[in-house]
Amino acid sequence: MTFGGILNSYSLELFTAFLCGAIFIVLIAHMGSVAYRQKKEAAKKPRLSTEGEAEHILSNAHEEAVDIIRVATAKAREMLQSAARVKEGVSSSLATELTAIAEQHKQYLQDASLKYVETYEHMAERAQEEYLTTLHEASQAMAGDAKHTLDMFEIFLKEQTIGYKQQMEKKIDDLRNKVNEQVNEYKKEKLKRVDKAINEIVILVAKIVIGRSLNIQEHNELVLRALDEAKKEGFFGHLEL
Amino acid sequence: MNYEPIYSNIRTTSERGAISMAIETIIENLYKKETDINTHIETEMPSVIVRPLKQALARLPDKSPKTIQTYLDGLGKELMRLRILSLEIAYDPTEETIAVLTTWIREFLGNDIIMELSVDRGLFGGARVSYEGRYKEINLATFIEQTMREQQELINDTIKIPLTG
Repeated sequence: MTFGGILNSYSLELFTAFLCGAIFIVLIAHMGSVAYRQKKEAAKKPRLSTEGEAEHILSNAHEEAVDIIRVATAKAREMLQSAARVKEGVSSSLATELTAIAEQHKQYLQDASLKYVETYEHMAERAQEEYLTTLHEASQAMAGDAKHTLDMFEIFLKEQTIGYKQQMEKKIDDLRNKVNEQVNEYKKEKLKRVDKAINEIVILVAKIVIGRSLNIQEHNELVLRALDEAKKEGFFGHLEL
Repeated sequence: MNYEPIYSNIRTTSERGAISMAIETIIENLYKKETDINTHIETEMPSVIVRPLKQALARLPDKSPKTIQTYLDGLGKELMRLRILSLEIAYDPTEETIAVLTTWIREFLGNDIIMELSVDRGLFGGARVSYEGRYKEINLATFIEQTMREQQELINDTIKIPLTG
């Protein structure tokens, strides 16, 4: 049941009740008025007999009452019919109005809905754009951070690699130098021993071959030869004339 | 003063020592009465020095003991400035050895150098030479090694064994 229908039904019942009440009050008032007038006329006429008068009055009152009721009923019927017509008209008008209002509201709601939908779509688009923009910026920032981190890591790795390389090179150089030193020392030692052995052999051979047969002149010649050799090798340097 | 005519006749450190002692003796006797300086020189100094020293003293402006002492003191100091060439040789040096070596030194090194000779028979031949901290040994073995190096190609060819490589 629509709001218009409910309103229409309650108004008609109230109106009908009000109308019946009014008719009843009018009828009671009219009967009182008629009774008072008959009493007044009766007072003016000579009293025939009390019972006859009473019956006559009651009969008249009854007839009048019947007439009044009949008229009232007719009026009431007319009024009910009129009310029914009014009701019908009012209902029709109310329904029309309500339909129009409903249509208006419907249209308004439709417009509003469309507007809301449009606004919502617009907002959704904006939100999506903003979200995408934010997402893009965030991804850019993340990519930038990641790149920066990667660059830093790369630099760190390079430095570490260079450091390790230098350390390794230094270690290898140290090791090589150490080995070279050991080899040279070993070589020197061996050469010294070889030289010593050769010397000993040569001296031994010289002793065996030459023996003590060198005379002073030969000794002198050997010493002079030694001095000549030393001079030739620049042993005397600044002394030489 | 020029002491070269005197010290150029000094050949070894032992001769220098003897001359230094002679100078001291002569100076001690300079102020004694009736002292003949020439006699002292002839008796104290080695024969090679006598003549040049007498000549040098004769050229002095006066013959007073003080002047002679000044000259002799200067000579003593000059002797201490002579440079020393140390030679270790394999035999006892003879006068001939000293003369030969001195001739070589005067010819190639100079007049202000004297020898300090010592003997190491282990050298067998040649000499160990040292001078102002430098040292060199050239002995008979060195000569033989040197000869072998010089003749290495010939020796290699002879024994057919490569010595290098």
